[in-house]
Amino acid sequence: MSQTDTPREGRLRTINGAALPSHPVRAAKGIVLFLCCAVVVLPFLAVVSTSLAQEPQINAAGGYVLWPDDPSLDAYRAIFAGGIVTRALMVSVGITLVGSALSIVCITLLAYSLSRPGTFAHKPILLTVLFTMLFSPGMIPMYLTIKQLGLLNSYWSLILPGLVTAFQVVIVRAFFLDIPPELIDAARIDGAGELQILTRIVLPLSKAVVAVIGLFNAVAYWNAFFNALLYMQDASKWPLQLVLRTYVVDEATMDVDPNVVGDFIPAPQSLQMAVLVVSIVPIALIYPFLQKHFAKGIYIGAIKG
Amino acid sequence: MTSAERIPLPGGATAPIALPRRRFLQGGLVLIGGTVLGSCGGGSDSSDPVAPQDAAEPPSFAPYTGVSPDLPGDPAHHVPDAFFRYPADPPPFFDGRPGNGGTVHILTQAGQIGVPLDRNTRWQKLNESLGVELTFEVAMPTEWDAKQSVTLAGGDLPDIMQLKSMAQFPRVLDSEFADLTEFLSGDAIENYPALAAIPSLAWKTVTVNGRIFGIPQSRPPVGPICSIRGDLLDEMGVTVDVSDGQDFLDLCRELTDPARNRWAIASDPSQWSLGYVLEMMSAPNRSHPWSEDDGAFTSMYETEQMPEALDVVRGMWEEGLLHPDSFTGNNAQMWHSGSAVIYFQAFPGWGNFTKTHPQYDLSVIPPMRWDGGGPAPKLLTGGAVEDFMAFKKADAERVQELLRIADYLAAPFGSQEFLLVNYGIEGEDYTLDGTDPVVTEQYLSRVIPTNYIGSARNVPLYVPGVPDVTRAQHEFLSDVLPSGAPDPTVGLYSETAGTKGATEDRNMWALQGDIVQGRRPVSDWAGAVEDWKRSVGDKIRQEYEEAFAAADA
Repeated sequence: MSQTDTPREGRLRTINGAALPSHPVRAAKGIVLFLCCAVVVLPFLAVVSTSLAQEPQINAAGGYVLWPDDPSLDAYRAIFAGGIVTRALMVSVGITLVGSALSIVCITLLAYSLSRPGTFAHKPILLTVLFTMLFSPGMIPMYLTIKQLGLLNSYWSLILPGLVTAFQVVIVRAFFLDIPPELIDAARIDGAGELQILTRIVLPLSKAVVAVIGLFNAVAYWNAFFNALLYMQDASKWPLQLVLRTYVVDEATMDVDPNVVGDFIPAPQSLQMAVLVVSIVPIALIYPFLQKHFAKGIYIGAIKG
Repeated sequence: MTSAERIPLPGGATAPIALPRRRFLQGGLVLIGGTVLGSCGGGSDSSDPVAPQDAAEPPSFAPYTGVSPDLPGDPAHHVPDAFFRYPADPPPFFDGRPGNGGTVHILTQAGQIGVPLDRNTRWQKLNESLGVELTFEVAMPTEWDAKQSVTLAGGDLPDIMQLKSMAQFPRVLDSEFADLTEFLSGDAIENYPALAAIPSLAWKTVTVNGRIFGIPQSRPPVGPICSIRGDLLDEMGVTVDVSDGQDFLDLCRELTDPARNRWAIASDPSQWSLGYVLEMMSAPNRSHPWSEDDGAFTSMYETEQMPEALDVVRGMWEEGLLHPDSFTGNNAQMWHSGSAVIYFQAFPGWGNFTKTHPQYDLSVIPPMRWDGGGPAPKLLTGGAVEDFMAFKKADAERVQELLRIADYLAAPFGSQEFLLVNYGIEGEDYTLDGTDPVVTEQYLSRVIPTNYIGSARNVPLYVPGVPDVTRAQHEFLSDVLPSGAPDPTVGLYSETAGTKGATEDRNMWALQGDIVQGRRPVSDWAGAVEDWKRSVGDKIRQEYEEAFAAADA
């Protein structure tokens, strides 16, 4: 704890030797920060509250409420009815975990090999990797490739196409290049092989960037729905985002059936907000654990090269 | 293929790596044009759609006579029968099972997915009744273009597939899908009595170049409706008495009170309000984009009424009669919240919202002539959902089996099978209130997306438990359909409209939005129309006129 001088008349209060601003300035800063926090928090609060609110209150409020008068879990009950969303949640978690782990392994291996001078053909391989940043394969060629590989309706079709991203390879490679070569030379003198150097020297020093690409990939796998729409013919294998999307598609585009509307269907707005909550919360829970690495990893990847 | 041409996959499996070059190139063509051009043999010019063929005789109409409607329809004017209650003790319509015991794979649009077959007794029961195992692949309408494109490019088509019109549509149909004409044309449809009960107008939607390529889902051809909330009218003490355009504007002024956060209309102005004003001016609009007179086609863009209508809606926007978030907001939510009193929507929404919100006391304002003189002709649409179900090419026996299955799924209102197909199993998916089915909460998780395969659920008119709405709907349709203006493009195909037309349409709609919001003057419209005619308009007109003449002949 730093020393804070006792306030005395005629003297500035300081923290660590720096003068504290006057009370009005501090109050103004506090208000500004409070407003900034409110701008961030209020939309989340509105989403959660609206998902719990009843339709009359939502309508009276014009679409969003900040606090539900009579909270109800009807929207969540409707979403989780039948076990479809629960199964989709398991699919998404599985794809996210397996996909992220595989992506980290593949990207790390590729980036490490490309960061070591003298690796066989590393420049042509690096150029090939960079070349893929210029063009995307397109929807139909990708579909035909997946089909010819026999991956249609397979969970691998949701993982393999996004396994290695050139952009992330560049970030990780830049990080590895920044590791002092003396460390690696010392490990080599001690008899370490390349795999040992990678796992015992390089990776422990690279937690930040590994966390960053892990998060990038986890978010990408978690949010992906379009691949599943194209490649997964069996709806019981759909990931969460695609299943939830069926709840938020504009009702004007749907085949409205007046015969099957029941009183138990919650307000569309609360249903949509519940969908948002269900889709955001699991992945948002990862952020606090990776936050300390996140900014550092991005920063280093951005300025080294 | 040798083993060297395979690559390892996770789990130890291998897969061939060779892509069939022809299909790959077709895929690229699908991407840019949405079709499987390369699979059409014969070396014909791929830019030339399949030439119109001799028009087939439409399927004969043979309505189901096992039930008596509470309000009889008018088939000549496409007014459906109406029922206040579901008939008691509905009899079976079919003898035996239509299927031969195999599998039928269906790709269709759907907004919901049901629980898997092993936990879905409704699905199991339907399979048992059909004598086949139905499997489904679904996509939402918002992503349908992508799903349809990759499926066609992949070449491994499902047995039954919903089709949205695309570039080279006739050619795709001709090369990949079964021509059903010989099985359904004229009296041949008598072999499929439920399909024969589908109103004749609906078959025009699935008839392309004179050949029948699909099964329609029939619905009243009335187009969008102008619905208004009676509860808000009562609250404001306003009565609706619209006999011309000025009355409509006066009504909108009465309904608008920004101090109470209330405006007359919430729907997208450049689409719905403009469309309604055009309808009152007896000019085509976005739901019915071409008019026809003695074989000559006129686009909604080029009518003399369009600048006047734009000026009217622009005035409504300036005057503040339209909700300020109309262009960007959630229009339905504005209406639900009472921020707007009028909402333009599809016809089924009338019954739908009445059931969920009976307090709304919904009614409909039919379009009146803008300058007075009685009702304006309602701009009609096709009598079926545009994206219809087609069968993959197969031998005649397989096609006939699929037709029998479609026939079952189109079971007529009043039969036992109608309840099974559309509501599920009594006691599980629905219960009976008197004789009316009332769906249970479980229904929603056991949805089976067969509704586009000829379902009779939109025709006849029947809103369970709300006979007053059924009566009002029948009365409205009886009023507007006989004098309505048929959509001349139903059943016709324009290659230019299917390729370049959509982009040009978006440009024109953007300009309409700019004009309504005062960012561009109305005088800019004429120049834009000339550009549109030069780029695509004249070509689309020519193609429609030729197709119309061929169909007429």
